[in-house]
Amino acid sequence: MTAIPNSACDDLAATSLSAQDWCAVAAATTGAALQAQAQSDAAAGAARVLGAADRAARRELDWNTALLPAAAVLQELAR
Amino acid sequence: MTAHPHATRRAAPEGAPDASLTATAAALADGRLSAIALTQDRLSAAERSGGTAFVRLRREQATARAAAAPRGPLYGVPIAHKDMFHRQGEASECGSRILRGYVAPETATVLARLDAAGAVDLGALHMAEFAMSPTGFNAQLGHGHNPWSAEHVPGGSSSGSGVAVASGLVCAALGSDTGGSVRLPAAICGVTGLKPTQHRVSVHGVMPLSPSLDCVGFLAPSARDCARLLSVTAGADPLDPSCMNLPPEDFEAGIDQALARGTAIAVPDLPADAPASDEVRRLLADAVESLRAAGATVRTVPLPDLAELGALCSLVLGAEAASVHRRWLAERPGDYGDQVRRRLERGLLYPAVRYVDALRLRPVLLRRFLQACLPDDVQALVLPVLPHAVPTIAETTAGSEAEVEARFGNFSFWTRAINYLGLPALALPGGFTANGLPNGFQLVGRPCGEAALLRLGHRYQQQTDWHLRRPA
Repeated sequence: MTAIPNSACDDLAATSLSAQDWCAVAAATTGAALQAQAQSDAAAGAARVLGAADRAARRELDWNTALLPAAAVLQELAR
Repeated sequence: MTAHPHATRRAAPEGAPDASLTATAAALADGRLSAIALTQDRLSAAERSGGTAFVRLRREQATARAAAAPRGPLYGVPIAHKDMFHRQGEASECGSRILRGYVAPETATVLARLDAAGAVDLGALHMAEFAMSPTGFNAQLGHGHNPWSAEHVPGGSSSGSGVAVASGLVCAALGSDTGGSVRLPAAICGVTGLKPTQHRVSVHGVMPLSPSLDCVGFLAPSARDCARLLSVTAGADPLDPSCMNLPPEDFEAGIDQALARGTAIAVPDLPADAPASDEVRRLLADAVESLRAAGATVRTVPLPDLAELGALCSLVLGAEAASVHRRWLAERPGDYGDQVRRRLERGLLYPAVRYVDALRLRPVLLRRFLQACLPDDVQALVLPVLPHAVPTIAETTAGSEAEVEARFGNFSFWTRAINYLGLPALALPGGFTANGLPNGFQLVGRPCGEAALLRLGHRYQQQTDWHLRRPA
């Protein structure tokens, strides 16, 4: 596995697995290893997305927030 | 604001008062135009065009269809579909090498409904590989080209749909919009594009990218044209259980009436660091003034955090697309373009818990967005579609993969947040930038608020003629 800069992977690492571990999970999921550069790019890109999403989740979600079907929510909010 | 030096008003088929879908349909219905002659004319034009609109023409099937099309609201009207809509027994390749030679086992519900309304489907259109580029980039088929300037991008992922409508080859084209893929090519090619409310139009028989975000949409010359297309395609579908079960609606009804007193639009207060160039801000301000002149009252609202909503969209899209493509990623990784494979691989890294969190957040953030930007008495939020003028192909493909990807993210900044929320949006031509290329803006509506958007869009198009311009 290629070393991935920790700075790009804080959000991945914060979930207790390292970026390399995540790439291994991804490889196990597909049955094929990611190329080294792809690992690094994918982890950095994923970290950026997860960082922004996590801010919203921490601010808005609690255990009581239901997972609702999108169509039902949109239809309910239609006037 | 500069009109393209070669811009002309849209050329109309002989016998039709203008090139819009509805005017052409009227000329076909009363016999001023022949469905067979129009079909053959448009097929020949497509063969001559040499652009990047079509990947396959249905010459024999379309001609036969024109001779036997039902006398519905789209009788004889030439249309085409992005190459991800299935038609039984015909190829559907999704702009990819992976699906080269794939023959669809069924017909997409939306195509079946357009058939039943009398439309004549001329063929399959160029698109980004698996609908995964906002610019029209496709490593397998070659980059799409803008009909206003071949050096510039046509927008994507429904690139051929924008090109075919702007070039006058068809009166309408089907597209799909998962992060902006109808609205971007519409604005970039100078045509009108409708992304309906999520789950309003069946996605049965459409190659998925991200089932929680995918939306069938339409590109056509005008808002009225989009209204007719939505009227004949929206509604429950037993083959798509996620589709809303709403009564049929005539979206053209009342579209010619003046805006009701009190019709309000919301305009965001764009901070200096919002990703919108000076030109885009000027065009947006012009559009707001035209809407005001059409009778809308204008209310200023704070700009919501579209970056955060966009990131949530990317998370959902990435996880779902990786799931759709997992087997091919393992078995045929070399058959993807590098850029598409890398973007799909990123989705493998999203933890399941975070994906579920992103889905649980949707109704929470949707309610907040509606409260802030689209309260009950506001019909539409006015936003840019593109952050800047239409770039050249070279400008969007230069640099490292990471730089290209960052550019893609910026390109769809104004559109993908709307997919996460599931709201309808109408992209309208809004003028030209200094490089001579069209640009546009979008009206974002409340859930199932398409009728209000289309009425506003139509009134705007009575005030302006940007939608009547076409490349010479």
